[in-house]
Amino acid sequence: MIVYKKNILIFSLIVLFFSLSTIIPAQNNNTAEMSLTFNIPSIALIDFAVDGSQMITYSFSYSTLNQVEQIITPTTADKTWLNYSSVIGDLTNYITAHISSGSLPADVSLYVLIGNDAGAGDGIIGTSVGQITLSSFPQNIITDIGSCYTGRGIYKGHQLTYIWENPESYNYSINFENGYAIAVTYTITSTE
Amino acid sequence: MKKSGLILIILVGSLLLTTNAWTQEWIAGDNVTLEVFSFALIETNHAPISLTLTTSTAGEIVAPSSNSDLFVKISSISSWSMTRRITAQISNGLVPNGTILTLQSAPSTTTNSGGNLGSPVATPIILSGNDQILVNQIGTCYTGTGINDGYQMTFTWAPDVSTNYSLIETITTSVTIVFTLSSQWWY
Repeated sequence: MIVYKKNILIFSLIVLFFSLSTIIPAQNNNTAEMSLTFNIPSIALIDFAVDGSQMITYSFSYSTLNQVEQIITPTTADKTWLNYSSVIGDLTNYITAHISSGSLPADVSLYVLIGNDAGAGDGIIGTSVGQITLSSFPQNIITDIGSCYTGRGIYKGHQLTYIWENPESYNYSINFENGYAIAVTYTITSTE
Repeated sequence: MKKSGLILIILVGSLLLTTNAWTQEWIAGDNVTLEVFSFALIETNHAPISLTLTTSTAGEIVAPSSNSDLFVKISSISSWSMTRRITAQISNGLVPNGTILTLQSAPSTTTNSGGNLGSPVATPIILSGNDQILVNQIGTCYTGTGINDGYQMTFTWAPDVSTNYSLIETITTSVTIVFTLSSQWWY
């Protein structure tokens, strides 16, 4: 008899709980839906970071952020770093360099040595081609750039070292120091 | 004596009957049952949310992007045995690779609201396909219906610094986010 009463009690409790619970699924409109849009544009930005003591001027004379120009003289050495930010879709970005104003005497060559990335950023940083002989025709200096950033400032990105080569008979310190200023333009290009 | 006694009883009896009739007239009425159903209604202000990850400085990482235009409005009747909470999840679509989307609720605005509006969770949730709690301990309350009434929601979209940055790529996409006002029973 006691067991029977206990069962009744349990049964009533179960019924009570179910009747309470069924109130909830009966409710409508207890969810609200919204849409959120994401956008990541392609990015190709380039700039110089220059050690303050260096005799270098640079400007955004080409008025676009994917192109920068640096005025170099024979005393310009290795105090410049190339910083860039890149976001790509399917195809990689690359950086070219060319002499954009001024000209060298016929027997003088100007090289630029492009260092490896200093490791201050993240992502797929480009690959340096090493050294090129600068000319007025754009040549690749850093290729296969994925989505990445190098960090901003000196000792970040790729260090640029300029090397002037002239015949031994030629004293560039006399001939160039005040007379020549060569403008070199670096351009980051999207292949998309 | 006997006869007068009988008359008295009849008289009193008829008076009582009359009184009863009057009484019935004055107390006449319907049984009114008052019922308040438990309910939970939720809606947004339908603010369009669009976030962009970009930078304008060479060498920099893309900057996080935030938006606080969305307000969530609710009406809730709860009971002694139950509170409610607001949860959110992504029901459709994916957050772009290499990025994370977080969401945090502010306390409900109080201009047009009333009742027990609950308390938002202190740290932003990283939105995923599973429901996560934004606001807890909501009782019986209403937030108001204006476009800037209710719980202001702040979305923040940022590069996920724990993954390789190269996962980020040029994209335009969207996700659907569902807010749910659900019940939490004490038992």
